[in-house]
Amino acid sequence: MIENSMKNILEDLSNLIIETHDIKINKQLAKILSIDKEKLIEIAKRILKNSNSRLVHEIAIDLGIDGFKIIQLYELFNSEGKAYHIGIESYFPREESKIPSLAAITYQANWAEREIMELLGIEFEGHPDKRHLFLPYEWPNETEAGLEEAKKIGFNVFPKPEPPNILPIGPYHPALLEGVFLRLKVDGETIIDADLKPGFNHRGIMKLGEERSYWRNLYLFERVCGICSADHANAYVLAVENLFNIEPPDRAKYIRTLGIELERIASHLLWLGVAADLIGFKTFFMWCWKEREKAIDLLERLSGNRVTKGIARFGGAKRDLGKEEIEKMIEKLKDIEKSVKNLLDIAYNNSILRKRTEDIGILDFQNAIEYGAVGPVARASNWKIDVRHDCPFDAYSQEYTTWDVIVDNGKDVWARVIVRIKEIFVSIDICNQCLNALKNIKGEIVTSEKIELRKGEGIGKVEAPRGELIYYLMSNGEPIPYAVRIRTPSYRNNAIVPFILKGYRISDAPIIYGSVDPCMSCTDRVQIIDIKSGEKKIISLNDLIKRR
Amino acid sequence: MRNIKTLIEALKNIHSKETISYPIGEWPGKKYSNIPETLRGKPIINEEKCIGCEACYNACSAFTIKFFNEKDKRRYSIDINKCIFCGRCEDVCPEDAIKLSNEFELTHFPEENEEKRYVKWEKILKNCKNCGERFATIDQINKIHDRISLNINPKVSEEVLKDYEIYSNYCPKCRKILSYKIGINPSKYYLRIGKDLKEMK
Amino acid sequence: MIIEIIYFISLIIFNIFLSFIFLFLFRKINAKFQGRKGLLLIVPKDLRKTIGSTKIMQQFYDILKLFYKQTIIPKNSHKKIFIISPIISFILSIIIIPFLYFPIINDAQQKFLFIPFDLLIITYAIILIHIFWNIGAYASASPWAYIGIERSEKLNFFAQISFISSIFSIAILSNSLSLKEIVIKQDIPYILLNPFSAISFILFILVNFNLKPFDVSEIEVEIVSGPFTEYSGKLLGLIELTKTILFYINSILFINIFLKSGEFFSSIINLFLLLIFAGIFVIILSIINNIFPSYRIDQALKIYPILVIIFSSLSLMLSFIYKIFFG
Repeated sequence: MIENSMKNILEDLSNLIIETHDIKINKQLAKILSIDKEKLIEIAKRILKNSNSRLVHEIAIDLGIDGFKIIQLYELFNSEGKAYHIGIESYFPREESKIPSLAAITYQANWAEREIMELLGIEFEGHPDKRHLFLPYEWPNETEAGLEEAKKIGFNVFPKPEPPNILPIGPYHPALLEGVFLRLKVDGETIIDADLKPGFNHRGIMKLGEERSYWRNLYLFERVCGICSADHANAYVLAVENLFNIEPPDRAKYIRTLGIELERIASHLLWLGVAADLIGFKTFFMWCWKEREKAIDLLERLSGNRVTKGIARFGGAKRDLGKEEIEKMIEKLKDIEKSVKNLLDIAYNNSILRKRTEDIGILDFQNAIEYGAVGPVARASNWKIDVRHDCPFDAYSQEYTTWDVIVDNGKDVWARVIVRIKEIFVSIDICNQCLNALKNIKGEIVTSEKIELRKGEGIGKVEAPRGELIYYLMSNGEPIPYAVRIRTPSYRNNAIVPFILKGYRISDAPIIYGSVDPCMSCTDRVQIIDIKSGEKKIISLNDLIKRR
Repeated sequence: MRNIKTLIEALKNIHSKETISYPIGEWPGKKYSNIPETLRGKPIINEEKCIGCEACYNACSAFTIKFFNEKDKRRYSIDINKCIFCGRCEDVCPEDAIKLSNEFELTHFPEENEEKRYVKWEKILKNCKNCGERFATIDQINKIHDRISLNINPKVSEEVLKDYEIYSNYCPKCRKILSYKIGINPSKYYLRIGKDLKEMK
Repeated sequence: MIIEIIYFISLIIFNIFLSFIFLFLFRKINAKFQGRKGLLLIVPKDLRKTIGSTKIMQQFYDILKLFYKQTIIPKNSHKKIFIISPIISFILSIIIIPFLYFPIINDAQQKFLFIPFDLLIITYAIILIHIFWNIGAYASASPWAYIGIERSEKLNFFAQISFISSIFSIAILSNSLSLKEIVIKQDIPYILLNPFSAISFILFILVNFNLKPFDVSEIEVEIVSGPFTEYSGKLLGLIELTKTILFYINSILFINIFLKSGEFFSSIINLFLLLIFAGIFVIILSIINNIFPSYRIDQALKIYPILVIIFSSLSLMLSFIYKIFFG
């Protein structure tokens, strides 16, 4: 089945492939094909012709004297709905750093290529929008391509008083929780165009990750985002385990799954309150956050902290649970289920809340595939993708727990509310199954295999509350990773915001933007690696030398 | 009307006690909130169990554990303002001497830096008979003696322990230089084996 | 002469003090429905070490603190109009206070101040306060203020129709325009005789004070506090003070017109009855404020005019029927 589909594609492209090798993603093996850089677009078109394929991410790594390496990772579904991955990589020297751009064919690669262009210096020919993404538009000097392109598209780049038909929902605004610059071109009350610029929360985490050893990085990547911190730690641990081929024992898998699901409950309840506040329903906001305290209490019992939970370790978990604690947790989960049912009743029956959220922010099924939505935003448009189902890890596969994927056909903001509330019930069910299994299974929580350093690559994928989160690690035998790349779900969901805002009113802008669940801390974590060729401004020498 | 459900929920909420008061000092709100014992708070040291092996210094993720020598003592300190409460020191300690308690109220004024900001302890060092350098703590040397006597083959334990007591008085450099003089050079075992072989023939 | 001046100044100060108590009640009930504690009237014993042992009235200090902050005037605005409008609104709101009817005190008041058409003065003053706020917001050059005024004008057009029809239907029923005669001539409280008039009055209050669900012109999430975005410091303090006094005046006016101002018995209990009825009115407003989110502007413009036209025409018709058949 999966093997046959992969073999068909490999036979199709066999005259263009130079060599293949394998990467382990979450218990599946993906094939990476090395090809010549001129043929990239041809192969990409052939893969994307399949109606059920999507681009996961585009990664570029600087190899020093050897040049650059670029990887494009795709996920395809066969006729029965099972998923498999194929990647394309190519090497090219520094002197010829111009490649044909993938964003000319599909929008899914737009933001990834803008990031690579501004920070690594590779130029993509044919890219429709060459402005800076994270750096300010006018850096490093005013005659750069970024400024020219911005003027062509029609947005004024300098912070002067704008003409009265451009509304800045700027870096400081009561509707936004974090700093992002959303500009709306309005005509009366209707929105004509929108543009989003992130980059205000930029901390340089991927660069820091390349100077620290593997176990120290665990505490660094836990702090990328406060709401989904257990997912980041778990994805990093999965990437390391896939790189060095070790497997955690069963009891540890259940504990890790428990941490991820409890965090999903807390995150969805937080989102529900914030969405109600964006309509103006402050009472509902207070009630949702009151229920969230119970879920956070459970997390505190499990891991020791409310925000930066340290549940995962290489090859297992950190803490164990005794019998009395399991009983108390099961009782508290029943409380949470009762109160979430009450909240669903209230939200379903409040007539003004329904009127404010129905029929706005519509995203069709075709557009969801074309623009690259992930997570509950895609599932509310009738597209059934979920990492826990397609590419299972830890205790999510069929032999450990059984559960359903929630899909809705509404396409508007109300459908996203319904999908998230129903996911809370599924999470409570998975938690109960894990706790009941933990009563019976005995064993250690950390495996006794040793880590042996070797050269290679590894990928870890996890379903965060906002979508699909992926970590890519490359090592060359040292105790320090050579390259780390993170792609968070908010990266993709923020890129589709300008398309679902057009044509609606200003009153709808906060709730539409809030319904994709933006988490700007996740989005802004970029790298500052090397010097752009032929450039006078350089990064200080300390950054290049410091290694620990 | 359908909106009655919101009204009923609003009226139910009038006697909910979600906000509790939390003053400094005495804590009357304590009965409403529960601090679990597994909370990760300030690290505390059991000085008798610590042997001064410095495993926690190597394992700390934020570089907060520091030490320096002063005459015949070695002083360790942990800076609470920089600690991230990750628990690596607790994982790595071989003697279970450092643990994370559940104390989380750690703010202080700048005048109280010395008492409240640093966790301090000290260990006594041993000095080399030959050159006078201080190379290890006394507790560590005793601990290694105990470990060796547990794990060694009983046929040779007497000789090894006798040798250990001699060379635990010298620092690593002097051991190498003076190994023939003090009689711990392993060549004595080869000579003996050679003698035994000769006698057998 | 001097006695009159002292009397009026003490009356105004007493009423402003009462208005802060009403604000406390409104905010406290808001908080209780949401499940939290709300604002404090007196510092509890456990917290006195950290906050200080003076007993505070938090709602009063929230407005007082604005008076010692810096006032920023935007560069592109029309400065004179920007500064004068909140001051005129504040003076207008104080002018209304001596005309309200309090049961025992009113005899002393009537010796100095009797105008046979004071209901008209009250009505026009309440409407003019909003007009001057909007003029001040036009003078501040900010895109958020323009959007806020646009929405507020659209809704206020209907709100004022509702208010005026409610007041005039009562004037027709009682045959006079003086507040004292309306209170004295009520045998049965007018809320039972003409309930549609009371509902029209409440519809006006919902828009006038930006209570949900018709909160459109001042919702914080979208347009950063609407017409009052550019005000800060002492001018914002004056605006907040005016809002507090206006809320209190409207509540007392409702009880005066529709519930006979509490004068059911003939002793000092009437004064307390007045305050208790006004308190219940504030609680009902707070309930409506808490169980709905706010409407979007086009949805509000579909529902609100229909409600206004139905209830105001019904109330006027009912008054005319009573007048024709029962004299």
